[in-house]
Amino acid sequence: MNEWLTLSTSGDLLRVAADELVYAEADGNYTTLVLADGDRRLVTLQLGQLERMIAQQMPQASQGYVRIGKSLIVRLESVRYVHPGKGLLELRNPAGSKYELTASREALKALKEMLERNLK
Amino acid sequence: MKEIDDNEIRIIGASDGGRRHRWPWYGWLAVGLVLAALVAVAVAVLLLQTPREEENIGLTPAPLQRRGDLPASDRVGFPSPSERGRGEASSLRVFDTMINDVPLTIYSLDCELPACPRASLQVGMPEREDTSLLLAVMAADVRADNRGIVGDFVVDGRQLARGEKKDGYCAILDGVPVVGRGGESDLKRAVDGKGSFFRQYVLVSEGVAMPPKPKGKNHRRALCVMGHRMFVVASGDRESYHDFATALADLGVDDAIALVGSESLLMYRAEGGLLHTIGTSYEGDNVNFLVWRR
Repeated sequence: MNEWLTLSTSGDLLRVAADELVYAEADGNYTTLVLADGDRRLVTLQLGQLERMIAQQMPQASQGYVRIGKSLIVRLESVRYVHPGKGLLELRNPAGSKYELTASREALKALKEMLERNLK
Repeated sequence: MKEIDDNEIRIIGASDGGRRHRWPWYGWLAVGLVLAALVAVAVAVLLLQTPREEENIGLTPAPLQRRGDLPASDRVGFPSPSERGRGEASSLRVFDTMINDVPLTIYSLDCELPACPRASLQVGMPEREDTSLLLAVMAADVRADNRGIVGDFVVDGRQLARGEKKDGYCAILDGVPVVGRGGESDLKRAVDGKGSFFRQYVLVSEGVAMPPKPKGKNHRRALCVMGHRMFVVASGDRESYHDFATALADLGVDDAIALVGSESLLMYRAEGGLLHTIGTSYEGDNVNFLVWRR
């Protein structure tokens, strides 16, 4: 059964299926969610709060997401290309859209190693 | 959940946090250099027990930066221009936040003063068909008994009411609003310069919450200034003035005055040109609005 992330405020409610979230990027006290259909949603949550909600509301699917530094949560299945030397992380959504993100070299080294370990 | 730094990653929800951290070689080098510098400073202080005044300059701590000194965008986290809120794209942004468990809705003009849409004060309801209207909020209180406007009230240079009991004010000259306390000189400018002026309670002054005396809880609204931004804030729940003013100060607002609260009418033009109305239309004498138009 698909798990859902539900973000509710006093004025509205946003539901995101576990496989819809491509990545989330911090913007101060706000976070932008980028979804599989290309939709971008700004929510009034800090990234840490969103991380907790993902862990609570999607206990199984959450293990498919990785927090990268202070600014990113990324769906592991979306990762297409990692280049720690350039600090470059490239994601693809199911529709084929490409997203180029930046992160620290050390964090991307760790991500690369983690993905390599998963091969063994 | 533990904090994370920019060099770390972790699998969300993993029992051990899936934490992966690599301490870079230059990190150890930096620690070594810092320790060496600390030892050198300590030796220097011991040897020079009475240093000359100019030698102390480098050790004088920098003055603490007030939250109010930060740019507005660093304080409230306004959405970036590329992000859309619920309001009219590139003109008005409407978004929710929560401060001290006080839910707030912020109606922010997407501009920095004074280069903003023109503001005006008017008696009577704004025209719903007015497609230039961006945001309209009820401004000065009107007495329930005699329908008189409370406090000094000037529209286009004509003074329609007098009274200084409420210390906060908003003055509008050439379509640019200012907010503050006192305001005698700005009142005179408004009269002389065919501007507008109204009084309300002060909620925040120079970054400090100054809740007015009236007790009780109600839906609150405020006209706020933060750096070069001006915006209207509405509480999502019934709040005391104390909690509302404290939340605004904690939000980082520099100055704020109250607006008519409770279920008073607020209108804003949403994306696509749709006019949203919130609250109740209080028809009657002297109902007045602060209005921003494109």
